[in-house]
Amino acid sequence: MKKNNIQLRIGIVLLSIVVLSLIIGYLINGINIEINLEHRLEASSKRFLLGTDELGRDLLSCIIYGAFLSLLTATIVVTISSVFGSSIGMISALSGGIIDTISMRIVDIILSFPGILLAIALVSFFNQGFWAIVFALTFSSWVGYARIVRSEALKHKNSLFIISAKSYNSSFFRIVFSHLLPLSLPLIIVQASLSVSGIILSESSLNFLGIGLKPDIPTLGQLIDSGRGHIFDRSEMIIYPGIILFLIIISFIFIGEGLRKRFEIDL
Amino acid sequence: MGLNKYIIKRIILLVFLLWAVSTMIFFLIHLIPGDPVVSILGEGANQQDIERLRNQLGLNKPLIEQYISYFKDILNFNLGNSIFNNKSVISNILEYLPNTIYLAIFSMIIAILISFTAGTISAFKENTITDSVITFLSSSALAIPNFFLGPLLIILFSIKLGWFPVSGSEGFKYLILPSITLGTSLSAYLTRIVRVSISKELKKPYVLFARAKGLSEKHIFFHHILKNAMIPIITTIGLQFGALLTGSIVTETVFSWQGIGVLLIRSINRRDYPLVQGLIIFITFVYLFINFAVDISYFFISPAIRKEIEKK
Repeated sequence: MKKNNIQLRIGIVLLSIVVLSLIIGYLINGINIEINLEHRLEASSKRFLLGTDELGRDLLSCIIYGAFLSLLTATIVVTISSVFGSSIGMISALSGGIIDTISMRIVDIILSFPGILLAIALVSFFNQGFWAIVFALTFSSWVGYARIVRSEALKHKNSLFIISAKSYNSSFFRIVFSHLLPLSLPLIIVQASLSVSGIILSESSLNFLGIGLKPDIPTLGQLIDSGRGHIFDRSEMIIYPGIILFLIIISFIFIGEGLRKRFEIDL
Repeated sequence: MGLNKYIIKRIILLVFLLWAVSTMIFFLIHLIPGDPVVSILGEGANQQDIERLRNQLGLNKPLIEQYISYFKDILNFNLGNSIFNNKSVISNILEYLPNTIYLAIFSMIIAILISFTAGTISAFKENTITDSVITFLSSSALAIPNFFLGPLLIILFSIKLGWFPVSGSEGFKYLILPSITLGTSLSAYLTRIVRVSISKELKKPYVLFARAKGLSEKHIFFHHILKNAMIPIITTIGLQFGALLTGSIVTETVFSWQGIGVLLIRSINRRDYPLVQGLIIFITFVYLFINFAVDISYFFISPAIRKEIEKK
């Protein structure tokens, strides 16, 4: 294990700074994302620190709201897909045979869709909404965990320590939860942290493309999209949310890469 | 296992995936809650129109029958007609495809230029400040979304400097900013692969031997190192085509570059389901065929991989 890990530190510090300033912004400014057409496109003032967007919403509030929404989406997607994917991987490895074949073919099929195309397809055929996005992103990201956990479990399935655990009648759950799962845990953590940046990128791309949440809910992607209409006169409508999004994504990239190096895992 | 057997095995896998992917898309559309016909026509549509469109789309037949005719259509390259302009889905795609191909080629050229230069410098100056700066820049390129980088480039090069047009797709001038946008994000990952594979080769004994023989550095680099480092790089370029296909959806939207990405988003917003379905099938098929080609190409590029496959 490498101890001195600059990438990991930079990532954690950067993410903390971003999240802390969002929280401080929330505490000072409050969140007011009500549509107020009388105050459309106002420049920055005491009341609206960063000005307002084309619906008259306070831009700072919208950015804070959108950033937390991205973080929330990523947290939910990573939690569900890691638990579900790891379970499928474990079941696949331990049962073998037809169950293994079928689940790995399903993984192959999902991986046959390039990038966020599957998420675009799912979101566009469902109705718009938060859970549609969560479902679409989870649907394409659980497969990573399934593959990793499966191959790790296969590697240890017939090891001596598992055979001896079986010989003194360890239950199936005990073997899974106290032997096989702890061995896969670093891999799961690294995969999870590496996938966060991609999930936030996909989520904000869907919102940018206008096929994510409804436009009355501010998201970083949607804010950048609506800022494009005012690129000549108010480019800060693009730049502020863009910088926050960039900082969030890059800190997760650093954390993911840092953890990968720390655990010396080659995914 | 010889070349033929390997190719046949890959073809079987390809056919399976093509079938599975199209089946999945079929069921996605047919099993989702809500009636696609109603959502195409809107809630207030009258019953007669709903029935007519349902007939036209063949949605009134039993599911199995629809499934069979769906496959017959795919095999005949007939993906139905767009609801919006009534032209066939294929002719819609062919109309927008050239622009996407231009964008893909130019962004790939830009990505390759950036990543080979940066990756090679990084590898030769491993663990120096130059290396760290390049690594940091490539992480940044990975982290900056295309829909943020694009507008930034527009602000700088179109509005402030006035060098390129803001958006549109009337000619080569319009292609430059979208290609830089997409090329930058593609180069991020590629730079790392180039750096890692070249630095791995640099440490091998044959490089030392070639130097001892008195070969010029240039000769060693282009004839030995680069050739051996190519395998992982080509794989990555091949796999990046997926990122290229989906990245172009966002980039085309940013610059209103009229390619199939813009067409896809437009038809989603118009609820033109036949066109959406056709485009998703088309893009996925292209992706699968490219992956197939990449897999086959290993066989010809790398003697080591060829031997491994032949041994099995």
